[in-house]
Amino acid sequence: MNTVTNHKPMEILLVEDSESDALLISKTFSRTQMKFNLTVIKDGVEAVSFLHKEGQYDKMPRPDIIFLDLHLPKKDGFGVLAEIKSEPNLRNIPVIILTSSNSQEDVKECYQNNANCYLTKPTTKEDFCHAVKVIEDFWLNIAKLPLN
Amino acid sequence: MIFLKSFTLITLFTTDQLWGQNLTWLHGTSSIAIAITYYFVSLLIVYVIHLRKDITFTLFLWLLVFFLLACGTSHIISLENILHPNYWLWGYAESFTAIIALVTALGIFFFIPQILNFPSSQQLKEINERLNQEIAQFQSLDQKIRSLNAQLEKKINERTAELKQVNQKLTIEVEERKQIASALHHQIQLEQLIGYFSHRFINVTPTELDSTIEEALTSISEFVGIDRSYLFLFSKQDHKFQVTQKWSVPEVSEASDWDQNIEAKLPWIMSNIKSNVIVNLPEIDALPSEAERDRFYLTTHQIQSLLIVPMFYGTAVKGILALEAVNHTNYWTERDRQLLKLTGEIISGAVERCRQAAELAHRTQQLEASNQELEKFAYIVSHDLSEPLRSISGFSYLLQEEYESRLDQEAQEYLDFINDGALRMKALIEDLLAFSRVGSQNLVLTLIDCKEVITEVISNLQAAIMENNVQIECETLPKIVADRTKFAQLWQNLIANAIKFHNSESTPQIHISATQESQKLIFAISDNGIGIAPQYTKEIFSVFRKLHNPQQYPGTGIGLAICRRIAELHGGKIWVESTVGQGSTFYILFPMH
Repeated sequence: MNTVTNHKPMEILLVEDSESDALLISKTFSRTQMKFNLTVIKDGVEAVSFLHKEGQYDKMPRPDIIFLDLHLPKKDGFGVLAEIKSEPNLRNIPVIILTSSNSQEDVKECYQNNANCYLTKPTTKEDFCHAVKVIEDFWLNIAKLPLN
Repeated sequence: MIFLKSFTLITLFTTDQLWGQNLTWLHGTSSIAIAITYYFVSLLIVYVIHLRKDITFTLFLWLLVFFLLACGTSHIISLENILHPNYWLWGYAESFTAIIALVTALGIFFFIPQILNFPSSQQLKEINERLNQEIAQFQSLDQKIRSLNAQLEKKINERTAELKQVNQKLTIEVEERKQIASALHHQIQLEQLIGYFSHRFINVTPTELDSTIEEALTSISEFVGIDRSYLFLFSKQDHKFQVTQKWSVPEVSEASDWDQNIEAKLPWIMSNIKSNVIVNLPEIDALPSEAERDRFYLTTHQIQSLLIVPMFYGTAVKGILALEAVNHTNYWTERDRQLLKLTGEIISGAVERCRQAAELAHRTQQLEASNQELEKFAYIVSHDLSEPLRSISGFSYLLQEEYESRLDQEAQEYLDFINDGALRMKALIEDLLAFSRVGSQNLVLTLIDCKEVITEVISNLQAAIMENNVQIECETLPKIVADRTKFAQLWQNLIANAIKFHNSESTPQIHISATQESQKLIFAISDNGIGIAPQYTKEIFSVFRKLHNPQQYPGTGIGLAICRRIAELHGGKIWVESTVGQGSTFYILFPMH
């Protein structure tokens, strides 16, 4: 069992412009046993501000894990990923790409930019629930994440 | 004198001797007369010998002379003996004469045949007559010979003249033949040259076209010995003939304004050209009166000879080939003209072919681009469709989960329809994506063992095979160069289809084989399934084309479209032969690399 889940809720940042997808993801997470705080940010620039604790985000916690969509307004997921992985104090946060794209070019580019995992958003509810369950099991329960 | 003295002495002594004077005189006179006669005859014979050198028996005549001299002398000595008797002397003279007489007699004996041979005057006369006759004959013969000789000479002269004439004719003929041979040689060389370029033009690529035309123009111009040559091609854009290639001998400058509106400058010539008529002007003066404008232009440019050949392709004039001489008059034979026309046609054919090839390449490029765009579009569409689909599917699920107690039976059913629709849409989108991906990815060609790949595919489908109790037979298959993943995908779809559309009344059987034909490999996969009606054997290869409803046979109908795409990407094709209720055989042709 991950120590993080035992003590305090896990801080999850979801960078997702689709409201429906964001709601689906949060609903699916909420059906699990884990304790977490989910913050949803809808564009790339905001996501970077959030991570740098700029402006309204100065009181926000550092996320333990980031779920990042690639198709985002203002700054796309690749840009956000590059920013995260170039910041020494951010680069150890696991970044899971969660996108509709299953293009090999996108997959390659993300891993090239040190993404920790690449997942394609499942279309149906069964696949979606299954995927969220697997993410929870692996990233939030099995995998050891660095502590803040 | 001696003789007279002697005779006087005889006269003197006889009076005193036994003999009477008269008797002495008788003896003396007779002896002297005989002796004189002997001597005279001797002299006559000597004279004859002297005159007739041809007498063969001269020795005999000389013997006779000696004999006569001896006889004469003997008579004188006998007379002397009468006057002064000396019988010894007389005896000696007598014996001497006797010896000579004997020798002469012997001579007569030996010389008789020769003497007898000596012709008589009668004989000589006859001989002479004969000779005269012979001479006359000879003369007549001689005359005949002379006349014959004259005739012969005449004939010889005639024949010589004839021969001379024949010889002259022959010389002319030889000269003519030489000219013909030289013309023939020229023609053969020109034909070879044109043959060579015809071969070049058949295989010419659009990029080599200009340089090949230029090379042909140069070679042919140099060969026919003209000063300048031009190739005009008809431009569809400008509706004008434009010079595309030109050539001139170094010492002759180009006619700079040929390019500009040749039709206005040479109206008569161009009207002929458009009627597919070769304009042959060895001398510009030969132009008819209605070609005044043409003449004016050509003479102001010092053109002496001109040959303009139309270049036809089909029924349209595509260009013209113009050959000019400015420093000399040039004559072209009919054969030359026809050969140059042929050259023009070969060039226009090549130009047209290259134009068509370029057009085809352009169209293919456009098609490829639009195809790529379409594939990209399919990809984007299917990708963008998945997000709303996720919403539909996700929230219908949430509705069912979270609002179950508040929804009545009917609402629950509607939600089920939404879920089913979403599921089918998901399958469609995924298949569309798969289809577009097949075309958008480049082929990775490697040498693959077909049997190995198909065995792998069969093992992937093991669950379905076991479930339906399918018997699969796969013959020995060769190795081919293909994209391994796509090749496997093709077989995955075909075998899965053969299992899916099995006939429930018999044990499903699948047979896979391949036959090799020159440069291609034809695979066949036969089953004993439900079969396909003949009217559908083509359309089943279209995207999302299904012959059954999803309740009977699930699936979107993309499988065979993907198979066709894969076969086509490899330069091959796929088709089916089938009998409803008995089974189908799918054939897949792969070209061998």
